[in-house]
Amino acid sequence: MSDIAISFELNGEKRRAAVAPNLLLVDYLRDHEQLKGAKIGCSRGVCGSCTVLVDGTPVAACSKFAFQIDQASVITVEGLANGDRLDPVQQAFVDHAAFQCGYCTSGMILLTKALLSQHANPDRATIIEWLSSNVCRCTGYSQIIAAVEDAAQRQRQVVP
Amino acid sequence: MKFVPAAGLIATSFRTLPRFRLVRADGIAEAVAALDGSDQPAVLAGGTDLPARFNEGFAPSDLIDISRIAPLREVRIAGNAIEIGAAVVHAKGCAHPLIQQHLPSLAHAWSRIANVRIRFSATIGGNLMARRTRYEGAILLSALDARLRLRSVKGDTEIRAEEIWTAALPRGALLTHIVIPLRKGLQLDYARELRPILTQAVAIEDDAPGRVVTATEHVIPCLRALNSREAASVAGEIELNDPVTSAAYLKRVSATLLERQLTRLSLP
Repeated sequence: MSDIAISFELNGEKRRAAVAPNLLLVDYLRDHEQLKGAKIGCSRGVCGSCTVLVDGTPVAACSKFAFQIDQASVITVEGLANGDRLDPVQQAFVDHAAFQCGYCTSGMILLTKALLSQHANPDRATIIEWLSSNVCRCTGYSQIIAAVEDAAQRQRQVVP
Repeated sequence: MKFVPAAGLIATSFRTLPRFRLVRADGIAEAVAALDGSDQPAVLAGGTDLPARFNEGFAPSDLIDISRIAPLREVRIAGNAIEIGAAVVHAKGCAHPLIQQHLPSLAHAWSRIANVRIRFSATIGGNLMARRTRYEGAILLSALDARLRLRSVKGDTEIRAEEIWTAALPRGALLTHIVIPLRKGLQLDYARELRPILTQAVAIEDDAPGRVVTATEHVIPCLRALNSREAASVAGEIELNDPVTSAAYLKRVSATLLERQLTRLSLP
């Protein structure tokens, strides 16, 4: 079982790596890149706590092998802030206290980034449909929905 | 979760996944040859079902990646049918112009299965070949009287969509296409609001009886011909020995949904 050479972009930086065929993306990010934002939850692609963006679409990193990101662009929650300035979605989550234990938060934020890239002005039903992809075991959905609505508004103010 | 001696129950990760040989196929013939030559193959397209299978103890000797095979990602019209490549991702399939044009009711139903995140990765072929009664692709396609085209080293063969739950597939068979005949007046309605208790797909067409597929998550879905427009009569033929929900309740729910679906399909 020989390693596979891959090249990809991680949070805006070009990377090359040699990965075992059975190395999961979430393990590569957490153990090889020390990016701990993607959390291991259900390990079967259901809970969404390991969500990252691959070429702009939300993906469960526990359900993808590392070799599958060859030639792709990967964004994790660590890649959102600009220096000390949080991304508008992150700031909205902070302002609305849209987390309790925080385990689902990075996945929720990245799912929201993907949602807002496709729907600049999502209605509540669309937000709920998208957020139903991920699970918050603390059940803080009201605050999360409020944060997404606020983030959408902030993003519309930034991007004409 | 997996039990590992001395470690107890731990989540699936690189440390617990079985070792396998990876084949990144560039063409259908290469994939079929790899399937035929493998003792215990697994096919990787979207990959969303594989973690569950690993968690259930599946340990393939070979992982055959078909995601780069272009013909499997295409939707096209062939004669009087629409052919959907097995590696078409849900999000792209339901938004494909040909599906939207020729089978808008399928596009609508297809856009509602799974969740948004899964729809960006999972494929219609993976949904079918998982052969799980709780997955919805075969429910929709059975109602539409679709055929599944399989390629093995012996050539192509086709089975009906509903046979995916029970048929013995040829050794090393690769699902390549889903073929839906475009019959006159073909329309689909999918009732999903009571999932997981019961879902129901109804297809009608102008010149032949319609088809009703009623499913719970636990047993093989029930397929019936829609000869009568009487919902109660059709629902009376239901045969679902579900371990969770009583047969009487399922019959009543099926009839109620069918009334609504026939109304939506503008049938008397």
